[in-house]
This record gives sequence, structure tokens and C-alpha cells, in this order.
Amino acid sequence: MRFPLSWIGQYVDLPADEAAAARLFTLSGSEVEGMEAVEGETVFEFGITVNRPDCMNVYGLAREASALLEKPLRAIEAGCAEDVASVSSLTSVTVEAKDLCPRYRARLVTGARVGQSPAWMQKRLIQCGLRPINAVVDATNYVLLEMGHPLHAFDLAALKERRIVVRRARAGEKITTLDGFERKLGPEMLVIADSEKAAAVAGVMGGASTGVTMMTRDILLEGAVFDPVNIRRTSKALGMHTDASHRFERGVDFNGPEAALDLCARLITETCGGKVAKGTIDEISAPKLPVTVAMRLDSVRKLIGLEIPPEKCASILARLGFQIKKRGERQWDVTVPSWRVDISREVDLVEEIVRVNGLDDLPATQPRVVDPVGGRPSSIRAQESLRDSFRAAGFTEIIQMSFGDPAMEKIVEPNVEPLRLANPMAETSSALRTTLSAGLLATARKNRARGARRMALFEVGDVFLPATDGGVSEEPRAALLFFEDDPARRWGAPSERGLLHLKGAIEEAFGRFGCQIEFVPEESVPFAKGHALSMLMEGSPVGRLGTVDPALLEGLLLRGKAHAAEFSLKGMERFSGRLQFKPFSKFPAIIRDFSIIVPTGVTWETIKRTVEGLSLAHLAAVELVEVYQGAELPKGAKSFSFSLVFQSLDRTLEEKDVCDVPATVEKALREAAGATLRSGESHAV
Amino acid sequence: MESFEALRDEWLKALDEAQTESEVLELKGRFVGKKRGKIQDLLMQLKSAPPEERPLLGQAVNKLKGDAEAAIEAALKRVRAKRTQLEPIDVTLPGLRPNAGHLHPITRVRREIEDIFVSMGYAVAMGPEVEDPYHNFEALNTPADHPSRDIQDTFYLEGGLLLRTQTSPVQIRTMESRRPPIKIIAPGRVFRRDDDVSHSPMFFQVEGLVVDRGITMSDLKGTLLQFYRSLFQRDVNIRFRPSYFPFTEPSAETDLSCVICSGAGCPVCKRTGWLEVGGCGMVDPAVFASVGYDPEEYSGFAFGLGIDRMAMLKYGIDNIKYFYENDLAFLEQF
Repeated sequence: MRFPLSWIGQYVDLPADEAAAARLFTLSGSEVEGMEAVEGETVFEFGITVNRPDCMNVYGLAREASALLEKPLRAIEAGCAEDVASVSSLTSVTVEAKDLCPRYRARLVTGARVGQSPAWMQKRLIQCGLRPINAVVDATNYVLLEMGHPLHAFDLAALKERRIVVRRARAGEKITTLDGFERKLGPEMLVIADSEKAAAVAGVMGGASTGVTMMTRDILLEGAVFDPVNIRRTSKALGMHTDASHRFERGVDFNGPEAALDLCARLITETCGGKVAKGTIDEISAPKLPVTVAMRLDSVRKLIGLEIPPEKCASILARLGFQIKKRGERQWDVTVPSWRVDISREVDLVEEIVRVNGLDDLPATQPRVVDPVGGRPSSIRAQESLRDSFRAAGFTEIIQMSFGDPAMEKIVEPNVEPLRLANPMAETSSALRTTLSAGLLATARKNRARGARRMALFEVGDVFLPATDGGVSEEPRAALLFFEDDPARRWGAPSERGLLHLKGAIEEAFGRFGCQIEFVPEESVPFAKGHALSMLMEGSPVGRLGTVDPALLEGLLLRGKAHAAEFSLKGMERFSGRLQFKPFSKFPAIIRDFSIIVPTGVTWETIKRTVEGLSLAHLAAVELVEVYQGAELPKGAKSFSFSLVFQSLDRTLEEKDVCDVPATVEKALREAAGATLRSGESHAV
Repeated sequence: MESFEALRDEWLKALDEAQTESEVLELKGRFVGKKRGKIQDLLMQLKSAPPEERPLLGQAVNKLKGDAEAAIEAALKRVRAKRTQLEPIDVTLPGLRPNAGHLHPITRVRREIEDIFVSMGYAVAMGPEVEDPYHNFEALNTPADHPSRDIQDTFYLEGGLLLRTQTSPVQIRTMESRRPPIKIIAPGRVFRRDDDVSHSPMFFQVEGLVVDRGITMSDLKGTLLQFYRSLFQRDVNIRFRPSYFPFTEPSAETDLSCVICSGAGCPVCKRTGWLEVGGCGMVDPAVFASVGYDPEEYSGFAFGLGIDRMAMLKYGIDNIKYFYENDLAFLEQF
């Protein structure tokens, strides 16, 4: 919203220094966002907040300056000379939709000759960013800019029966607005009509056929008050945001039409000649009484922590147009001026006082209170701990948008129908994510295209799953991804990382909570057959990991190897404080090493479970040393080398404690897995 | 005597080949050991030599033994020196870095912000990213069909739910769940239907809320001043500029003295010396009404700030888009 400084200066003495004037407005809430010279004068670009329609005009800004500078505000000379012919003998106004139009006031100018507006007026319109049209339209715009009330001028002769009806639009009714577009009107839209058809979309834009042209002689000037919500809905529905609708939807001064119409009529007759008909038509269906607010002076200090002297408070309010009636020493009844639609409560008055007094004067104090809950919740601490673990394990954290490409989501999570945004910015960002992995793969693809050939990525964040009640279930998750595509050899680069590294990183991260994850081989999309695991936490499935199906990767135009994991962090807080110290032995361990040959289909899990199932006395750990498959072994066979660690908490073990072990283990593994002993030896540590 | 020389050659050769201490010690046993040492054997043989030859032979054997012991000592010294000797290395080779990963700069700055507030006695509160219009708008004194809704263009789901446009709904959820005193911050993702050079449709915000008896706007100012000084580890200043938010009254924008130019004027602060860093104000009585708090008994303040913006200022990042493009060239710098 742009206004030349000189125009505001017409009503109040502003500082000569323009930067000082800009600071003055900015620090009182009417931010000066820019400054430029137009037609040889300085024009300020104001950013006026939605609660202050009263500042969206020259006089309102002058009033602010008057309060801030403690300087007098000069009145607007608005009166107009009237003719003998009375307005009610020349036209009439019928307000049918009283609920949407609490006030409709009209003035008539007859016998005008419509030409160009005077140069001084055109200059100010141009400075404010408006295009001069003709003397009448320009006069309504000029009054809007100066006083803030939107006016509309009708060519009275173009109105059927030369009269006004304010009503809701009829079913299927159409109007061609001043901008030349035909608009289809809805049944809740308010129109200004003549006896037959709509002549304007009330509070938004006039109709093309009833607007004032160079041929117009008799002019009906409308100064009305409309329901803000209705104007806003109409403006949104029609996609028309105008200077008028902008103000009506924020709320206009109920008394605004009076002076505005007078000034406008005078400006028109000064340029176009003609006569102002006697009196006005003023249809008021819902009179607005002045608002009076009880105010306790102590509330200022209580709310802002600074004492402002009563006389200062009174002077601020008075300069802003408030009337004060003292009910007691520190208790006032404050009557709100009609243009301040934003003020109805004591706290609103307090804001006015501190705003004008200067928010910058506030002391800087500290609240003494401490929150009884305090700190981070366990669920968040768990997530932060995982982030630290993954980072330490070499993964780099990414943060993706919470919405993504539904096609990509389907590839990774085909069984969940993602929730859709009703108004996405693009189809590729229209689905709330149901998985983090889709985005990780997309990120890998993007970085691969930029030349990266080795990546370890992770994200911790929420996914959004359709809930059974039709709502949304938000689930915190973590996901990891290794990607490699023949990376160049580099000093210090790690060796290739695979599915087992991923599994290890997860075991390590959860181990910090004293929480053990159980991994179970289980096929799932998008993993290659035989390369996928499910993750169980206390027996319940929480996620999965595996090597991404290379064919699927190729489908994503991503060549290379990818290993991915994704799991839920729901309920992780139950592990907080779970990690407990375990007594450890101070006595030496005896280690028995085994090397067995088994058919290739036998898993390590089988071997480990079999050995553990023997409940060998003093067995402290089963440790895998090596898996071997190669030329030295028969076809279809592989070997496991592993160590059994025996240790006691209360004594040094002796040979006789473990002398039966080799035979027992060999027998058990032979029976359970067809294992043969390759070698067996033992040593003490 | 010939056998003496053969014996000398034998130990010299053996000692020369010995690489470890245990090998040398084994040779010591073999040659000069008290039992079964080869030289000891020679001494035993002396007894069978003619008596007149004995002194000379004895002398010769003793010398042989002395020579052997000296050679063994020398060999021991050699192998011991070798054991503690290191292979040569080119110490100018590049260091081998641990292959650790990186935390996202948003995470790093979010944690810093949380740590500061937690140290000031705050609790960290969380809320859902998919919200209902009541918690995102109505309870925050932002009714439907009010122009204040235009400030934040909203993503809606089919069915009426929305992606929260601010972390302020966490204020409401917290106040609904308990009574004052309340002193929380709520960090998290927020969404606005806005995508241009300086806007991302998703970004991170921190909301703060303090409610108790006797909380004032001066407390708000002191809190933010301490926070920004702690975050930027510098003697920055703040300034309150009146503004409007539906859920606070009075409302203010917080301006921070420019952390780049210290207020002298630079492109980052558009030569004003001030950076707009977030909205704040005293909790509007209408908000208290929506959660059943008595505004006559309690007062409170609320503030919001952008984690992205703080990260940009801290690290000198000039484009908000970098945070969500996840380019490794960017992420690996943190």
C-alpha cells in the first residue's frame, strides 16, 4: 500500500528527515517496507497488518503520526454544497438483504459533465499506484485513498427505474464486471441491482454497463457497509481481490460513508460541474453503537511489566480518537472510535498504549518459573540417540519433504495407499509419505547424477499412514541406505559396505538402549529374494531391511548396489533407562575353536542356536570367526570357524570343566546340520 | 683345535641367522648352557685329556666360551634392538579420517536451540504434523473466513485435515493437557503453500510458550535477548516492533541486530542493521478462553522463530532450498 509522504504531511507535521519518518511508522506497527520517488516526491510502501484497516489510508496514517509525535491532527474539509432538489425525489434504495448490508448510504450528483480529473489528483493516484480513468471514478478512488472508505459511482441513467436494490444474486444470475469479464454469481453473493438486474458485485467491483463514462450526467454515489465474511467469500469465490474488497473484508468504519460521500460529491462538482442533490439516502438496518471498554490502568503494568504514567496513557488514547471517562482513579471507561474495528477488549487498549509509547522501552527481565515437566521427552531422546549412532557409523543425515511422488511411494510401499493433498503444488509432491526409503532412494539418485558413487544416508522423521478411523496415523521412523556404484579408489575410503554392515549399524544403535533387535529372514518389497530380513523388537515386527532388488533399482534409473532399512520408532521411549550393568568375570576364559564343514544352505543362525541349545556349563559367548566357501572345500559345502568362550564369574576354569565340549558340540552339529569337523583345537587365554 | 674352529663357525652362522630373542636364547643353551651345552661338553672331555695338555686346553676352551658368550650377547642386543625398531613411514601422507557421517545442519541448530531453552527451564513438547483446523486456527483465535488466514497459505488433505502451518497448535495441545505453570518450546516441521527463491513449502520452526501468574512482556523480551545472545555467542541486541498475530496481544516482530555486520548495514539485513527473526507477543485472552484458562489469573507469552533462518545466519547459508535438496556436497560440510 503506497502513499506519498506529502499527502500524509497535509494532515500532520512529519519529521523533515524521511528516514526518521519511516522509522516512526515502522516502530509503531505500520511498517515502511520501501521508499521511492514517484512524480518527484517520496512515496512510502507500507505493510499494514490485517487488523488495521484504519491505517490503509492517508488520514489514518496521519492520525498514527499525530499520536506518535504528539502533534495536532488537522481535520479533513469534507462538506459539500447541496442543491434544492432532494435525493429522495430522484431515486430510491431498497435493502432486501439486510443481514449482509447493515448500512447503505447514497448521494446524487446531477447534470455533471465527466471529463478528466485535475492534474493534482491524477498525480496522487499515480503515486499510490492507481491508473486515472475519469473525473468521477478518480474522485471515488481519491477519497478511498485519503479516508479509507470504498465508494462506488453508478450512472443513474443506466439503472433500470433509476433505483437501487441491495439483494442476494438470483439463481444463475450473471454480471459483466468493469474489468470486462462475465461473472457467474452464486446465491449467497450480494449484488447491488436496479429493478431488474445486478449492477455491481457488492463491495468487490461494479458492473460494466452501469459504470460512469464520459456520457454520464447523473451519478449515484454509494457509500455502504457490508458484511466482511460475505465479501471475503464472494471475493475468494470469484477470484477478485480489489482495493474495495481488501478493506471491506477487514472491516470499514460504520460512520465512514458520511464524510466520504460528502467529500467525493464536492470533488466531482468541482471538476465536472453539476449539482449535489439535497440530503442523502441512508438505509441503516443494524445501527452500530459505540463500543465502550472498561479499563484498569494496572493492567498495563501487569501485562507488560512497565509502569506508564496515567496522563501518558490518556494522551495516547485521546490522540488515537478514544474518549475516556474516568470511573475511578485507576479505572476508565474508554469509548472506541468507529474506525477502530479491531478494538473491543481491555488488552487491545493496553496494546495501543504500549505500541505508541514504544515497545522498545520495555525492560528485559526473566520469568522465574521452571516447567514442572522439563527437558526433552524420552521419545525424542531416543531419536536423538539413534541419530548420533548412525552418524558415528558413517551415515549422513538427510531431511526430506514430508510429501512426495505417489508413484515412487508405491514402488517401495505398494501395500499402503498414501494420503493425498487436496491442493498440492505438483503431482510429484502430492502424497504424504508412507515410507522414508522412497525419498532416500530418490536422494541417492539425485546425488548419483551429480557424481557421487558411494553414499550412506539416513533420516529420522514421521510417515503418515491412513488410520482405521479414516484419520491419519503419524509414525516416527528411521531409515538407512547404503549405495555404491563402483566408487573410485580413494585414500582412506572404507571397503564396500553391504547388508551385514547395515544390520550391524542397527544392532549397535539399539544396543545403546540395552535393546536387542531380532532379525528374521523374510521376503518383502523392494528387496531382492533371499536378501531381506524382518526386524522384531520384543517379538513384534518393527521394520525390515535388505538389499534392494537390482531390477527395481534399474527401473529407477539407478545403477549400483543399494541396501536399505526402515523401522518404526513408535514406543521407543519404553527403552529409556533400560540399559543395565552386567557383572563381568575377572577370571581368565577358556576358548575352544571349531571349524566345521556344512552344506551351503545351513545358516549361522542354525549353528548358533544348536550350540546355545546345549546349555553348556560356563558358556559365555559363541563368536563367529570366519565363513569360508571356496576351492579347498567340496562343491556345495562351506565352513564356519567359530569360538566358544567359557568363563566363570567366581573361579578360574580348568581343562576338566570343558573336556567334554568338543565331542558334545560335534555330535549336536552333525545331527542338526550335517556338520563335519574340519579341525578342533583349544587354547587358554 | 680344528673342532674348536668348526664350533666357532657353527655358532657364528647360527647366531647370524637368528631373528628373535628366543632363537638366540635357544642357541645360548645349545652352546654355553650349563647342561648339555656344547662348550660344557668340551670341558667335560678335558678330564680325559693327558694331564700335561690340560692347562693349555682349559685355557683354550675358556677363551672359546668367552667368545661364544660375547657373540651371544651381541646377537641378543641386535635382535632386541630390532624388536623395538619401527618400519619407516612417510609422515606427510594425508591423515586417514574415520568414516563418520554428518548430522543435518537443521538438526545441529535445532539441538542448540533446544539445549539453550532446556537450560533455561523449558520442556520440549511435540505435536502432530497433520493437524485439524481447530488446533491450527480456531483455537488460536484465527476463525474461518478471517483475512488473518491469508497470512499462511495452507496445504489441505482430502477430508479437511491440514498440514500445520505453524508449531503454535502445540501451545493449544499442551494447555489442553495440563495447568500452568507451563514453559515449553515446540520445535518441528511446518508447511506453507509457498515455493520461491526465499520460501520452502516445508521448513522448521520453534514455538515458545510460558504461562504462569505474573508473566509480562518484559519477561518475553529478556527471554529472547538471553536466547539470541546464547545462540550467536555474541552481544547482540533485539528490538520489538508492533505487529499482528491473531493469538497474541500485544504482538510484536522481533528484530535482531544483524549478526553479519553487527548493525553497520549489509546485504543480509538489507542495510537496515536489523534482521526480522520471528513473531511474539502476550497470549491473547481468546486463546486462554479456548483452553479454559482464566486470563485474570494467568498471563503468558509466546514466540516463534525459524530454525532454517537461524541455521542460515549461523553458517552463512544464502539459500533455504539447500536444506531440503540433500546434496551431499552441502550436507558433508556439517
